[in-house]
Amino acid sequence: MSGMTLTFRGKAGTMVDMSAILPERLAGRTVETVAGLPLPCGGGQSTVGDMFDLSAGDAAEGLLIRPIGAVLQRVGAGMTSGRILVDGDVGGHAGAGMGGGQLRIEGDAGEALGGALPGLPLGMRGGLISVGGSAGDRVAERMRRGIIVVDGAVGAFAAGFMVAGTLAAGRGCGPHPGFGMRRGTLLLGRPQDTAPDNFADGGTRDWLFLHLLRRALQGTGSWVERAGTTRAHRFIGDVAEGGHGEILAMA
Amino acid sequence: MTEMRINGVRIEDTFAEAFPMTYTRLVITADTPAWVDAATSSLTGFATSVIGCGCEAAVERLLTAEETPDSRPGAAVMIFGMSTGDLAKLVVNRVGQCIMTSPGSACYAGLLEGTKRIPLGGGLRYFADGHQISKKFGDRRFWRLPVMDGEFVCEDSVAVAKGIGGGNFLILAASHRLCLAAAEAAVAAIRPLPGIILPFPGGVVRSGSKVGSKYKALIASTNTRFCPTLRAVEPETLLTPDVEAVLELVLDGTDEAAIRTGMRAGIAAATAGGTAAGVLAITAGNYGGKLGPHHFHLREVMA
Repeated sequence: MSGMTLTFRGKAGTMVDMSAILPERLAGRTVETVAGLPLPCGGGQSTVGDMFDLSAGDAAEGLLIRPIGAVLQRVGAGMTSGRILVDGDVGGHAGAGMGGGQLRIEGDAGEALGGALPGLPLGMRGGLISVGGSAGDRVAERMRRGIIVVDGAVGAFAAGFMVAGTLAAGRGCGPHPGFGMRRGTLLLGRPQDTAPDNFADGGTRDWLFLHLLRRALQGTGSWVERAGTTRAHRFIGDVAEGGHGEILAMA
Repeated sequence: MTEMRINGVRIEDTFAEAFPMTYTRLVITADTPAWVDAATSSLTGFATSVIGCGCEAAVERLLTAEETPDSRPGAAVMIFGMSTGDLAKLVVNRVGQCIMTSPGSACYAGLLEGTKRIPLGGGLRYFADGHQISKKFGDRRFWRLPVMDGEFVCEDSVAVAKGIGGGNFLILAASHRLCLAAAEAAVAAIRPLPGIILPFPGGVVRSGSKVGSKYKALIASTNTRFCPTLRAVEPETLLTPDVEAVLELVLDGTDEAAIRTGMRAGIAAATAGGTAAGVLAITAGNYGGKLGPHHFHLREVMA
């Protein structure tokens, strides 16, 4: 990946708010300018240059972030364009409220991946988040549009209050999936025979649109690309919210 | 200009006159090639001429499973109309009545960029009575409509672009059988080419028309100058005594280059057997150059 590289050099375990480090905000800026930008971290204020080693390159071409033990919160939150690649794990609210662009996390993600930032009514509004590892609770909470694909498992309350969009979790999810879901799709890579609470059993069949999802994810290397079938068990819900959402468990 | 002959076949010093049209391209898929054929046959039925049908449509080419969005067999269909507004009404009606009704079918945009967009699933989604599901993958929105065999998947909209309709050439032959054989060879040569359709039955027209009629209600009537049976009584006949049948190929295409390539391939195929195969001359239909801005001079096309 060409573009700008940020390699963490602070103390392991330091919590850093990365919501200001977005490709669209850094595009065209020099390394020196970026290094001088303020960066909330560890309960105080620092600068990007104090916390990261920066390589020369234009963030418009993409951002490569190497966490090296840092707890990076809100990576890609609010991003509308461009590309971020994280070579490691991220903390909570990665891609929260994201409106476009691509966020790739090679490791694990924390809670509220692609969800809503505190106090805001909607989660992710567009773009693509792909995670090579697993993700925490409340993934895709209040999500409005876009795709989140997680190769591992996601935690509790996945796709909670989802308005629309697609969350695909390769190794299934924790309890209470689709709680309060209005529309949208939670796709699980594991079979499931029993309907979650407030979901109705819609039966098993081949789903043509999953071919379209697979095409959309071409090149990401995600589990959806590798899935050999489009046959899935459909659960319709949350019926308390009108029942237009769905959980699809691959057969 | 000196006389031009190909394998002894006379190429008349005239031109085909063609018109600007608006077109779109749809990709239709189904479970098997046979069901693709069923769906596209219905979609492109009664779509030979804008004069009587409102649009002109045909399969541009068949698609392999690797080429379609849902990895199933498919076909690219081009539909030509006189305006974006006309096309918008015709396309959504045809997709609704001919594709949505066809078992296992799906409909996608085959033209992603153009002057405007017209609705596909965006217009048909209400059929689902509130159970429609929208999925947006990247920049493309699709609709999933519950139907009796599962779901009808249809792209939200498709682009339209400026194209050309009415490219043509006529084959003059010594017998009906030989004329038809030459026309079939021309169709076979044109069909694999991209960006062109032959909207008439089998790709061939036998009832070429002229503008106007002795009957006031008609805007077009049989092209008497090319009717062999009227040769003796039609003062302006363009047929020599040895011509027993005339067939026309009409080409609609994305641009002048596509039409030109198609005409050249078709005429080359039609004249390949030469006069020995009974093909006597190739000519073209025009209105004196006053109606259509696109002129395809046969001798330039074949030069």
